[in-house]
Amino acid sequence: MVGKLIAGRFERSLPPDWDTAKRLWAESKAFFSAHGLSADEAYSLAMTTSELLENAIKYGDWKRAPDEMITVVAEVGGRVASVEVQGPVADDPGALKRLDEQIQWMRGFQSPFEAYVSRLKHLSGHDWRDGESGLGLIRIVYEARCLLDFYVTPEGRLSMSAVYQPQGLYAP
Amino acid sequence: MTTAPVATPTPLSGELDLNGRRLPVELLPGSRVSLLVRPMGGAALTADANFDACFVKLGERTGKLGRCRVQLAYEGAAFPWRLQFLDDVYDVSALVTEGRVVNLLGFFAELPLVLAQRSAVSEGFRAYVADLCYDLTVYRKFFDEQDQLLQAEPPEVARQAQQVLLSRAGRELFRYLDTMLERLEALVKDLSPEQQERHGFYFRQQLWPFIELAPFMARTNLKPRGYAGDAEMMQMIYDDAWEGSSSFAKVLHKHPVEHPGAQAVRNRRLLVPKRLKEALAASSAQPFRVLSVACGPAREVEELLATAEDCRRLSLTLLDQDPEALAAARKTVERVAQARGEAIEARTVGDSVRTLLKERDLPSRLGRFHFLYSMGMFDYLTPPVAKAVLSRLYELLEPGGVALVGNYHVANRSRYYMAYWLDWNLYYRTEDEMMALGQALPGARVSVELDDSRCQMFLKVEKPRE
Repeated sequence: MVGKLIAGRFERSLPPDWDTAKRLWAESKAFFSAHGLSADEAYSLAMTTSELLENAIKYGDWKRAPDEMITVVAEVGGRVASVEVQGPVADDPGALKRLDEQIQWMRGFQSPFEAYVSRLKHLSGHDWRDGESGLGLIRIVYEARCLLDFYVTPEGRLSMSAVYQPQGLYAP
Repeated sequence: MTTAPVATPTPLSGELDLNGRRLPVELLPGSRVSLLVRPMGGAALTADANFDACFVKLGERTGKLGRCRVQLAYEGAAFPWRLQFLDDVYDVSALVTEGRVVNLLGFFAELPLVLAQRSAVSEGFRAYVADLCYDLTVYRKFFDEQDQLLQAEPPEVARQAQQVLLSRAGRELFRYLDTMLERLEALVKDLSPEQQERHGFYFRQQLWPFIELAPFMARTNLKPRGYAGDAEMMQMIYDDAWEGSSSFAKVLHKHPVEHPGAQAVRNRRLLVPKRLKEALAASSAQPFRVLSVACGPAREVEELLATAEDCRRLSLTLLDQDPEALAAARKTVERVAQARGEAIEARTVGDSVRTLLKERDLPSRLGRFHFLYSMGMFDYLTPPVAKAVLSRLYELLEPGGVALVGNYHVANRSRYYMAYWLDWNLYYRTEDEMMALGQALPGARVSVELDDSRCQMFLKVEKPRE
């Protein structure tokens, strides 16, 4: 059982480079630790923040929006801790539909382990090609026990968020 | 020796490898897990010859299949040799139709990971699951024996007798299930989320032979449309019937669709039209435009358009991401139009809210509405997304318009039933969390009400008149 969550929020606007991702790890871990999350939970959330940031750097549409920044908002309040990462995304309806389906599919399992195993089952039998394993997002769900969700803003920015409901505050 | 298969798809090119020497061949599916082979370029094969590998050309890639042996299967046929694999079992259908090498034994290496899950399950829970499985096996045997006995009866006699069986013994089994659900809640309510997940996984592995019998439970677990709560599941809840291929299956189907969580779905079908009628009475708009977000089969339209006058005054927009849901919604509208003898102004829009939000001018795309509602979508949206979606939906409201948003309450009495038996997981909210969503909207007047089952609540958002 964890202690009471302490409400708080931090927001950063970052350029899309790998050094900022490294720096943000320590910063977000310190933030979550200072707001009532245990060391393990703060570590998982820092990992999640870093994963989402790396995704935004890797898959962002930097050709269309070379001067845009990535926004990271970490927040603790009520029953949840959350991370929201926003960056420019290509207007590719097919890719967004696939992301939507993947998120809904992962959220369809009570146990993220079931989603992880199901994906593993698929991969272990297939000669999958690089970059299409789909395990990255599942790992956030499985290892950090976060609920993933997203939407696209009218400015063409993908807002990817992970929500964590600490132990004892939410079940099932 | 049997007759060679008649169907002849385009052969795949390949090579059989022995000690680095490659023999060119062409391959056809021979069965689900074997290939038929013919040597090319004048090469010859001999019966029972073993090869180190088989390389198959799959578009621009080459797939490697493991050790294999050829045997004469169809003498004199164009593809006389059968190729079988010695260390692995390959899915030939995936190879031919998807161009992928799928080793059906591949997951075997991962089984220890799954088996290890058992160690995290408490002794008490294991005993509970064992009791449940034993008891359900006993009940199943009883019901199956009754079914067998009734098979010899004239159909109308069998039907009547089955009704008696369901209403007497079926209801008794309901009481047993209710007791076991109470025990389940007592056992798991204080577990951490991670423990809940592990126990849930264990539970469904053990109970699967029963779960798969009940059409509703099987569907919520398998999620054939990729998500829980699809139009077919909603239909099953609305129908609230004894469905299933046996009496026992019918009981297992009916119990969850009667439970308070399902009753809340039926309640909202009446509650939303009631609130809409109130808004309609307070408005002089003609037409009175209504938007249903994530509409599903839209069965509430039967109550929304209760009279011919309603049909003439209301204009409906039904939005859903799932084409099957939209098809079901269109059927509902057609049925209502026929019943009322009136044309209905209704259009369907196929889109997901998550991606729809990228529209800069959403009102130009969808229009503006006097009343909009979403009955079963916010339960799947996390706070950041729910906030963004509600804020964009608010833009679609006419001044003085009303939005009604449903969400299951943290105290949903079917919560553990849904999570453990049905693998149906929602984002539950408290009244305060629901109010907080609405309070972020500029000028909005917000309130929350619970339905009669007290499992679900509705956030009402009223936009001020200009």
